[in-house]
Amino acid sequence: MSLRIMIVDDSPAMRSFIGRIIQLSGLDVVSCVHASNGMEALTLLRKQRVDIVLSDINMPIMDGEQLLRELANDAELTSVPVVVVSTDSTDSRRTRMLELGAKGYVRKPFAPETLRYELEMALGETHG
Amino acid sequence: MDNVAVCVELEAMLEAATSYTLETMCFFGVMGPLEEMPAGEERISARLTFRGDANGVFHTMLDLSAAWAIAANFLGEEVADVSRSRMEAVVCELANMICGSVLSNYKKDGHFELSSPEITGAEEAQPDQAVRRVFELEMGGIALAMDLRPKP
Repeated sequence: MSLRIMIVDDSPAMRSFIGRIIQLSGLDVVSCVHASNGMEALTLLRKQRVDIVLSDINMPIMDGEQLLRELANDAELTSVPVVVVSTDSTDSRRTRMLELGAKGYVRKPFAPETLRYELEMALGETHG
Repeated sequence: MDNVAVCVELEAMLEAATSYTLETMCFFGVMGPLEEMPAGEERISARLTFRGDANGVFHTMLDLSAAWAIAANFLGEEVADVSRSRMEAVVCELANMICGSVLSNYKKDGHFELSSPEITGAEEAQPDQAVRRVFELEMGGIALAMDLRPKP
């Protein structure tokens, strides 16, 4: 299955890094769509299909928490799995994001294999 | 926990976070601790503030040669192809990841908000009262300082 992955992060450098790690991961990735905040991600998600979203939390305009809430309230998008990728690795934040519907949580800094594992787990849960 | 114990704990966390971040995200080796930054190199510094269950300022200073090499590794490009602004963005990202990692270990069930890191004057003094660590890298050095401040 060829995957379309969305990377949501306000840092172009981090989006570039995550995109490169995904391309090198061995997953069959057909394209990576980039968004710099939750609002931009929602706009793009309403125009094109993606199989999974990787999202930071702290971003201007719309943060990752609000993005999860918006996705949960959108009948068309509620099934899109989201894996959070954040420098905030406190237990309280992780728990809150998972309660809001995130399918996985990757703590920055991360080893490439950790990102791949979380992607596979989230996709497996969604695509059975 | 008294101040000395907190400092020792933070120093160990700074070392672990710096090594892990540079090695896993930037594919760049940390050789060991130093007393001071090696003399003679041009430097670049980034700074961010944090608030929540701990408040303060986090400083990172890198030898410029190391900063360029780290940015190139992080971006998967040759040094010559990396612009100054993208190198600075990677230095900011590095500061963000190391600070976030230390704070998350310092108070695992805490809540923190980190400001966006910004590049500061290359020789901006790191505060004397901060917890400081300096490391030799496979090229150049890195100095880190975490200045915890009392809650207002």
